Amino acid sequence: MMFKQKYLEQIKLGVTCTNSYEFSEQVLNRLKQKEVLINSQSKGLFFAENTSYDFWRLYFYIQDISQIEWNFFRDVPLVIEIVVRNSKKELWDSTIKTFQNKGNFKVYDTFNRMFRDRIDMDVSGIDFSIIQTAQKQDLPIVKKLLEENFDAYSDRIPSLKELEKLAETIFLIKENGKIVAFFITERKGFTLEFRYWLVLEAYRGKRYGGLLMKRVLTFDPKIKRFISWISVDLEYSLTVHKRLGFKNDGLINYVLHRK
Amino acid sequence: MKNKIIEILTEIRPEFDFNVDDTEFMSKGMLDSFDIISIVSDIEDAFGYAIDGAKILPENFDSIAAIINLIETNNQ
Repeated sequence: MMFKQKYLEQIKLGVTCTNSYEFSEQVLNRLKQKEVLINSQSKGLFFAENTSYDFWRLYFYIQDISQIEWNFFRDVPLVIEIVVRNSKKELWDSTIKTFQNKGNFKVYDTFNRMFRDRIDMDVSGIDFSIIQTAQKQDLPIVKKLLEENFDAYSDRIPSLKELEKLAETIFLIKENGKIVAFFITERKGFTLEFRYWLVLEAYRGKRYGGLLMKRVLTFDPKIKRFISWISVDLEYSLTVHKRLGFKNDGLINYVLHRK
Repeated sequence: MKNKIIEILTEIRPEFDFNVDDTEFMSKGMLDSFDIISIVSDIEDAFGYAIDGAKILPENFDSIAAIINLIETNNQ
């Protein structure tokens, strides 16, 4: 305990940049896990958590980036997420460039966060009866579909345990008992975050995607706001969100990767 | 200062009344870690100085009082 506590003390020493915004206790719990790599330098602390995929997720607390030795964790693939506000983008650009040039990381994907406030929609004439919320037995299949259709590096695919927590806001459409479309959301207070929206290729053109979207936008009148992270490369998704009234809220997530 | 902070918080999460509900923002789901990034940026713009990165921890944004304390102690 005391051994790990010293890292927490180091974190408190004039950090100029970090990608970890958690309670001190949560940071300490992360550092205490068995599957965590720690690299402590005089001007920075790095730790990497193992994931259930073929990479480790890196967190950093940097006091002086010009004095960092970049040869840490060379034998494991790493993914870093750096979330910045667009008004601070220029300040962070140089940090990201340093990760690229000295740390040998590459920008793997970039996401913009979009939001939309609740607007009352008349859905009285819409039949939502083919949509159901996920049951426990659906979750392993949902996870498999996520792994097959989304990107492990950039899409933070949830574990089964995490899916269990989300179950009441996972909306499914089945045909002959088989899941053919889903919309996974996460409730955060009065905000609903869109996580994953999928219609299997063979079932597209049946308006399942639109039906799920309408359900998600209207199922709970207490939801006041919707947010969604959209990859800058997904033009179709961006267009759909804009058509639905979503706007950028100024947060950008850079996903960096080092093989 | 308090009014400015409430204005910043309301801009980010307009669905909440931060005048009435002014504590335990994180545990109540009123703010999340990404909101902290926005708040830091807005506080820096509003008050004209950079917040020490080591202080960008949720416990320093969990209530109006904690945010005021963060700003007041930041330059000490």
